[in-house]
Amino acid sequence: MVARSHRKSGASARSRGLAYTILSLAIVWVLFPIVVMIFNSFREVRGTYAYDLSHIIPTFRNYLSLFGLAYEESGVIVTKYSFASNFINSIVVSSISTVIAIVLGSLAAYSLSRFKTGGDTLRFDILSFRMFPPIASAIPIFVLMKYANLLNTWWALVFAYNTFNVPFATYVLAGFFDEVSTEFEESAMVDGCSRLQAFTKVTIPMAINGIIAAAVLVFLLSWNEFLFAFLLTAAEAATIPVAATALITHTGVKIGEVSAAITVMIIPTLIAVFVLQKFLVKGLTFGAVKG
Amino acid sequence: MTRKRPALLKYGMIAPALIVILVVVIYPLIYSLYLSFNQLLLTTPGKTQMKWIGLGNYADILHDNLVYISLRNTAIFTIGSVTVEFLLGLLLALIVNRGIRFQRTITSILLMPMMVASVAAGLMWRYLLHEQLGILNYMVQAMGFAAVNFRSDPHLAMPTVIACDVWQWTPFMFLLMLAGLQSLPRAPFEAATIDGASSFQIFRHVTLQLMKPVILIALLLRTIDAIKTFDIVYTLTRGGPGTITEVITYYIYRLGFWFYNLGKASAYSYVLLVIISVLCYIMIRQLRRR
Repeated sequence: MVARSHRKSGASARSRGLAYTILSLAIVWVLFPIVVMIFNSFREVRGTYAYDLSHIIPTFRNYLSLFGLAYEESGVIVTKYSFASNFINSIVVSSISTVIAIVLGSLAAYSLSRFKTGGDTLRFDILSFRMFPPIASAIPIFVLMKYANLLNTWWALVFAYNTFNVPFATYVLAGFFDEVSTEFEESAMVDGCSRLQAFTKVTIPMAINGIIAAAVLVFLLSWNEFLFAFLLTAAEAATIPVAATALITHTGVKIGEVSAAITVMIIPTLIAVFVLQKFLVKGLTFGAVKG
Repeated sequence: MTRKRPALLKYGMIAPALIVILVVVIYPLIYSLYLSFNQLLLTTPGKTQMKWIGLGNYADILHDNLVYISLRNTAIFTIGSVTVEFLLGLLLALIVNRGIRFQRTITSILLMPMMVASVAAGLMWRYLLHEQLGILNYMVQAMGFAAVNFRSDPHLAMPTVIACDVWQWTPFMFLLMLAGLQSLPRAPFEAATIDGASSFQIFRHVTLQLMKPVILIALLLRTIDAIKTFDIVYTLTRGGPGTITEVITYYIYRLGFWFYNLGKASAYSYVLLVIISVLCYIMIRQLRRR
């Protein structure tokens, strides 16, 4: 915005043309892998795998097969993927993790933001946990879960996902609460509300957009997570990312099914980009930019 | 505020989160430190043997050639991908910041890859570049050339992994740079224009100078994340061919979950932890200055 006014006078048509060329190339570069993959998920795989458009038969079969709904003419199920249960695992684990992170995170964030608990030091200590290499936590958590007999359950993942979700939610929400003026809470407390009532009845409703954005981001962090899920779960509790990668190793090259699995995995994230654009800066840049 | 702050509420609200962090982050790390002083092998199914060996695992690091190879690979990967991501991200941010048509939609499209699961990015690229099934090799062959083994050619494997990371994370650099540019004060630009500075001079002496803190934090954030890369290496190359793309996290994973040598893997992960902690400390010092 700032640069626009002073550059516009000097901007020649040629430099504008160059700018739009670079942008077009960038858009093609971004979309190409996604479009090819969605395209592959809707095509019948027969014989040689040509991209010759005249040989392409559009089909839903890859999706049906993935969810165990594709039948041969004899009425036998073609493949028995457990993708439906992987889907449920992903939803359940991500949802539970999100609820924990947002509830604990908003309480802690309020304390950080309003009471300045531990000052800036504690706030940044909490952020630094988000930077930890997951492999360093995954090894001891694997051994602990093994002793607790919790390997290959939802609870192993719910436990592990707190390692990044709780610090992330706390830090981001503290930033959002900082932006909500304290005036309204104070007048609510003058009117006889307790601090806790002011928090639940004034602060939360005022920061609700930020809280929802944080919840979506936490959900997606869990939804996309691979390393913990890969090390702590196998068939029964495996989430979508684990199931999608397992399709390569166990069944040879099932490009149609893999593409369908990835499409299912990325659709929520693509929607979120468009809905949350405004919040992405605040949510993902950790206060690097003060606007 | 003159109102009395009830200490119970102040600490009571933050306690649950801190207790959870203590249980899920701190305790496993202390346990991991204990594991790193033991020989813990899970090679016999259902049986775990734990034997105290002191600094034995750490001593192994000094003789382990693969540690140096994997750290070198991590450095090549990190420097290569972060540099390209930064330059492309800055270029795109400068263009979008000048004001373009459909700015919101175009920005959203450009941001898409960073929200996609890195496993999905790795798998998409795996099939894009596949020797027999990939559309790229289909085009190459249609033009009469031999198929290119992007993932298994020793010269192409690392650039391929870097390209996938660039695809996924340039948007993050773009996002940070754009936010940085949009928050710059107006006055220095007006002053420079009045003084007759050229566009390039303004960019070099005003824009870059003002952007320095944001650029530094962005580079550190990306560097920390690039050092932790696992997913795209696993989905694209599994560290191969040979050990050419074996980054440190992948090597630690192999130690722990191929050779089931969890004591050694714990010790090695502490090396990684130290590297990350140093970078993280520098980054947070930068953030606190703001």
